[in-house]
Amino acid sequence: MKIYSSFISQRFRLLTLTVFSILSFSYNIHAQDGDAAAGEQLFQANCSSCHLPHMDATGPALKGARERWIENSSEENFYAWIKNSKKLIDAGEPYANSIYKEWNKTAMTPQALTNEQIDDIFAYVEEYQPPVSETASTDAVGVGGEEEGSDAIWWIIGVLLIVVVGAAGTVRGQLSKIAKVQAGEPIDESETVVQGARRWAWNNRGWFGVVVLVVVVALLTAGMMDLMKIGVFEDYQPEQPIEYSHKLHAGDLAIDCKYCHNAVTKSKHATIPTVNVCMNCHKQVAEGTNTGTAEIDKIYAAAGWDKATKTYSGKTQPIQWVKVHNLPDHVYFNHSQHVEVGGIDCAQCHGDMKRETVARVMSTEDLNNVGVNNPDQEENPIKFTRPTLTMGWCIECHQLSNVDVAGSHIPGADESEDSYYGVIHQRLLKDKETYQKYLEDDAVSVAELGGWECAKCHY
Amino acid sequence: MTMEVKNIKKLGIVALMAGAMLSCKGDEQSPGMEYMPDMYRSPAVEGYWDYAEIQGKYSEDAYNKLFEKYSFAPPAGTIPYAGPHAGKEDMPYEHGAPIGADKTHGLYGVRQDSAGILNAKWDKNPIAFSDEALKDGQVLYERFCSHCHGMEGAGDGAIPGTGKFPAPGAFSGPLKDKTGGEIFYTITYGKGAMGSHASQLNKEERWKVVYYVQKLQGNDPGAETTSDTVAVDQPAVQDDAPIVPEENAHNTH
Repeated sequence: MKIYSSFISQRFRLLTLTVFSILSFSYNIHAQDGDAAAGEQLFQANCSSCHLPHMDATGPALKGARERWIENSSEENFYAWIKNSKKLIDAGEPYANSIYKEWNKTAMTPQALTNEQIDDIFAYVEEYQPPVSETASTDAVGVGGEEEGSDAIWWIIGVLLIVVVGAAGTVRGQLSKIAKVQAGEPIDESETVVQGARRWAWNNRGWFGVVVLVVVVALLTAGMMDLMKIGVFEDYQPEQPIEYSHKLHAGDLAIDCKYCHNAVTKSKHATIPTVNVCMNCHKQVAEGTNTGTAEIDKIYAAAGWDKATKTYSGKTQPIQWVKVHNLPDHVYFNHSQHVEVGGIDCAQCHGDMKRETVARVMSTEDLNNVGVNNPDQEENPIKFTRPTLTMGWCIECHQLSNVDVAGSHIPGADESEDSYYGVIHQRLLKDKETYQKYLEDDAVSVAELGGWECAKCHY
Repeated sequence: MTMEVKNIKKLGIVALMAGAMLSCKGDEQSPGMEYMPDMYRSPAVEGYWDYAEIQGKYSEDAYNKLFEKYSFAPPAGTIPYAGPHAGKEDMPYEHGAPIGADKTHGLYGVRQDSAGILNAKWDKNPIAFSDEALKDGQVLYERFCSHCHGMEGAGDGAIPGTGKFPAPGAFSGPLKDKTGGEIFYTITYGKGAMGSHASQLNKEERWKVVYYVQKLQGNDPGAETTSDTVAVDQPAVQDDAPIVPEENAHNTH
């Protein structure tokens, strides 16, 4: 019985499958069947640099293009359009000319494709589903919000505790008064609050003295620690005109820091990128992962890009970014010397920006924690003890950083062609005594090469 | 009666203490405390600084004047000085941008020439080929190109991977036949979805990237492509677009 029923169900399944496949096949005949897998390859090879299936790019979205052509013109023209659009335009085909006009009179490169290949491509295009973004909404829930919440809880608990202690004290005072009245002891009604407090303090002078001492020491320490914060700009994270996320761009999209801050290898400043660098991607990406269109529209306003017509208008305006890392004018700092010559990774001084949103002056702790418990990132080689962007911080790093002077010499190179440290190495070879002194600890530090000279940074 | 007074006083003290302790919390909008003005406001003009503050007073007038010039653009025709190699790599590029580049790629005020890419096609790489140059090119490629074109040049970088940006063709596939001159022209002025990267890479760097892209194409980057050897098989792509150098090339404004 069991076998029989399973046999029936199997046959039934086969039947439905056949009917279904026949139905779907007949449906396909109407929609010009093509091989989607072959279509994907053809799409990647010929179309993908200008077209997306589901949204407009340099050219229009391809989904539904066949239907649009059948509706407005004919299917033959649809094939002809892809093979050579300019021919159709010149022939005066009205729909072709309307598209040409809509897309700023940019004609598509003629494609050497057969009708079957075009069918394959559109089979792929019609069934294409855009990848679901994994990064969405992870950014909005920052660590900061959570911390603030737990902080507030402690404050509330603290205040409640003080209120409870105060209430208990008041009740106790009232009770002792009642006890006194009942015992028939006299109550000095004329005693003021201050006199009462003094009397109480004198009666409990042992404990009171200890508490006062502790409070005074605590206040002094707190004051001292606050004074030490003068001139320390850690955790400065000003609001920026555009809510840009480093986590999204440098982290999830793996854009190199130096793609945007590209002058870092050539100049004193790392530089905030000019708007054309933003537009390299955002000409196409109009809707952000975290903020939708609100923030990207600010880039468009600055670049003079008109989303509707997909053209630049020429009307530009500056974006006023707020400088975060500031040094006083009596200090000279040069990014290219550190990044290009010294080969220092950005994270050594700026921390792990791949996890941060807006730029912040990282604290020493943040810098020392870079790459700790993160197998994807190397740890910072120098661990700091001094606050970020202070002179002690610079000095400390110059002392602890070693330079491979011998290794950086380009063999056989003339002094004018040699690397920065290569030149220094060649000079040191002529002064063996100094070189030996430097090499006493088996390493040449930046400090030994003049990194501690006052005039290196102050002039 | 005294009890109530005591209570109010206690509450007041509690509130004061709480306020004082809360105020100790750092304000991330403020850089912090300075003992004295420590030359953070430089009288010499520094980049990215709001110079509307004059002698301790904030001037709306100065702000409005400076707003237009917040990031100062260098004067027209400026050639950047690039150290001892100046002049070798930063001379103006002789081929004009494609027609309409100001509208499509935001190249405001750049000379346009309809024959630009055709003339650029047979440009020879002025940087002598060496393993060093190729290695430099690889570093630059990975820094400036890989997030779209992919580490191996297959057009599978992280940005097209989001589905919001069209994927570029693979260098070893549809872009295999692009010559060094064409690659250089495209990096300089952009093409289609790709923007101009001339502001990020100077000429020397662009030519080094060209070497590495040629390697990713599967071509021999060291082989000198001269016009006589390659001109034979000119692709028929531009057949329908007649080459007419624009008369009014300066139609940018």
